Amino acid sequence: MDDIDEILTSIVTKVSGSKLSDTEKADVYANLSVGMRKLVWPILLSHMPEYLLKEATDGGHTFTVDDYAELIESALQNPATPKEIQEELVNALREVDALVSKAVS
Amino acid sequence: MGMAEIQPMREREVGASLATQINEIFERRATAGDRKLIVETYRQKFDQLLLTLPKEKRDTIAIKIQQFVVKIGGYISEYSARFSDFVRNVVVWPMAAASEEFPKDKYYQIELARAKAWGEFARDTTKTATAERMAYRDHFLPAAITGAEAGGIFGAVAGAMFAGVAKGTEIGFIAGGGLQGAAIGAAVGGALGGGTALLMGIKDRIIGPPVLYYSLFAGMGGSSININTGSNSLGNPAALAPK
Repeated sequence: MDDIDEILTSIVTKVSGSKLSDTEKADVYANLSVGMRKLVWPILLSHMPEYLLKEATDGGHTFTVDDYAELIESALQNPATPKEIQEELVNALREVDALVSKAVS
Repeated sequence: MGMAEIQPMREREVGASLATQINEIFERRATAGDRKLIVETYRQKFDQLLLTLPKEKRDTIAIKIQQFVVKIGGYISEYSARFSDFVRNVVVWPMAAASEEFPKDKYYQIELARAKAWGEFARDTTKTATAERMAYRDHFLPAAITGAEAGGIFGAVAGAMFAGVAKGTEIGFIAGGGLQGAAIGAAVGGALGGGTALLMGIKDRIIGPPVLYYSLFAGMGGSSININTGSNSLGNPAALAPK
């Protein structure tokens, strides 16, 4: 089992077994989901070459599916990017796990 | 105020506070260091860009997305399947959703309902997503969670999960279409999915649609194109794509 799976299991097990209502559990899960997505995009953006970002957002040409793919690829081609995403997700989830442990104990 | 009223209120406060604090953890990390500036500068512009993708033939878009999925799978292959799924879902879904020409049929609607319900396609995170999430939750969550926690054989994969979507799709759209139909379908499909995978199901709901699928029966040439962002946590990739 990988890190992300392991920590998610830990979090979900605690929340699921807690006395929180279904509504509150749903909100916790939703915030986890939204939060993880929130974290990935800024990392991708920060690894995109700035000239490509500027070119895309300056409105000089029509933005295409290929442009979008090129931007994402430009970030992911850098081996540091997936590594950073993985580390950040794991660290954030560990922090959440600690918080949940404290809150529902 | 009696004890019976005090206890639920305390639990509500813990729940609300927990969700808020979780949001804050991700928010803080998302804007740490020099990310804050770049996010402030580009995220909004980028979101707008996605909404202006030009019209292209739907088969062309489908093929491009499929190629893109394969490519990015290579960049992140050394990481876990769950991580790979997650990243693919994050970057591919907006591409599919932003294109005006991408077929807005029932499979798209199911994905959209799920995405909106859980806030992943909502710019304003939980605030914007709340109403839809609540509507979604009200339809499927009580049956799903209650069934599972009661240990019944219909204990559900909570939500529109891998096991439920394929079966739920049909039922959902018979039930009325749109968000509510999708939710009902997801609930019924989830219940049909069996009770052994509750935790796994919740995790996949957190991660997002485990499989962003789209079966495009092109009509032209009779070819069928499946777009699949990878396997779900049960290692069951294409089997879930509705036919």
